[in-house]
Amino acid sequence: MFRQKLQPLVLLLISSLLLSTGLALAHGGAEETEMDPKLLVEQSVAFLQAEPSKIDEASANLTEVLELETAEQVNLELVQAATVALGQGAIPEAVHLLDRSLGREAETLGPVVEVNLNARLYIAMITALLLTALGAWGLGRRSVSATH
Amino acid sequence: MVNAKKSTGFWQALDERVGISELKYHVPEHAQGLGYSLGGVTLVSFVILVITGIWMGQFYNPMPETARESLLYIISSAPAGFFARNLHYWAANAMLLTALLHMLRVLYTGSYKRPREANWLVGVALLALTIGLIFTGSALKWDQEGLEGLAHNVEIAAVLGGVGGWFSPSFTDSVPILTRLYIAHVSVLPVLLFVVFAVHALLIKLQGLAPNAFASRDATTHKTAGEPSKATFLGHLGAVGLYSLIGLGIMVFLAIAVPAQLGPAPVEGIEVTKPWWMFLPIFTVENWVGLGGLVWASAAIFIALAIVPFVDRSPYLHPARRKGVLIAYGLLALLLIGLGIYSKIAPGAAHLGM
Repeated sequence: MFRQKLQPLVLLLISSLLLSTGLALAHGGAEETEMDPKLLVEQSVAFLQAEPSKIDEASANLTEVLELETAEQVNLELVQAATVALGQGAIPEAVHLLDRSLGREAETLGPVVEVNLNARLYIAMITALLLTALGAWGLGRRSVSATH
Repeated sequence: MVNAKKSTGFWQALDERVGISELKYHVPEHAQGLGYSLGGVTLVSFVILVITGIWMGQFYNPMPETARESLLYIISSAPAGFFARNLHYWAANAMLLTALLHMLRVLYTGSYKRPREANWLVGVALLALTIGLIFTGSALKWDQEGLEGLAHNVEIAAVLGGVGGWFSPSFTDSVPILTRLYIAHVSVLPVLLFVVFAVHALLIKLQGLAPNAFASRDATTHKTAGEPSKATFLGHLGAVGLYSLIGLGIMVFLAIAVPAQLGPAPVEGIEVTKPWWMFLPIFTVENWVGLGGLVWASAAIFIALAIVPFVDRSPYLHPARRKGVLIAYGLLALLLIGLGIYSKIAPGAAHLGM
């Protein structure tokens, strides 16, 4: 009986042990390597799109690009303009300029999927409601027949 | 009257050939409730995933250069592509959610107890396969989140050493790792899941559904297969079908009203996204201690689940007689939910040495 009462505690101890083993694992830092300017600009765009709070990381990347004398596949003038825009907190404009500096059309914030309701989707929505109602009606009937 | 005779004749003929009446064997009466139908509802979600997945497979190209483009084609132009993708997304959410609720019900009612320990382990394996399917699926959409998921996959392979060889891009030069994840997602994992599910169902048939834990405070575990009852397995299937119909209705509605999103085009070398909700708890551990924590935390969770029947050996089913184990696992569940919420609101961290 006493052993049975102890078992949940043993379980917790094992779980905690395994979790703490994980916590004890530290991971090493990354080695610094010279980055491709195009990749640095792409990273800045991604930072600004996905996590605007990482504006400092994006700016640091752009500074690194601007320190280069030449940068293939990147228009440094537009990167400079984007840096100015970023300094003014104009993130969408900066993203647009950076996209243009890479010679591509802006894909601001990725292709957000929107719902364009058309007749077919209305029919699908009505079907969805009917399916739910049919299921609920069937369960109700089963419940009634079970009580009789 | 004539119609009724014809109908009876038709069903008799059909039954004679496919044996529908064989499904009318007795099952405990509590099998008709929602709690005991969640496993079946999970299976129905899997069937929806297979059907919508086959449809999307006609338009998806699993090569890294074209994967995103083909997904954009599915969303914007492919016949019923928008609907199929969104239904696939919501069915994946539903499958994991109902599987977790099913496991919670089994845990709460002590249905894992002797002689059902092996079947509990089979259920844990099914959960692992389900999570594997969700992980591989989330990488296939090939946006920033998908790329970061794949990068985690590669780094975990390095942490695992020789065991993780298959997950590494260096496994072969002839097929990109994204394509191999696609193969895993559409063939290896679904086939494995189907085989393991067959074992799960076979064991339930052999042992019968677990007895009602709330029949009395002294209810004990035993085999119920062959015990007389007013309920039949066919009736249980009917209940599963009706609950699934409600679930399908909700999924179809959500597929139209709340479509699955697609993030920005992937950029290598940065970590700026957070994973899907089911990975958030271990993402927090990873934030704290790095990639190794992800592996160890996952292992700890699955080991904690696997040992349930071996630490709770008493024959009693009523929750009041199993307070210790229920409190222990309740705390574990709360810890995971807390870690998930914290991960959602806390800023992300880079783990991949990028």
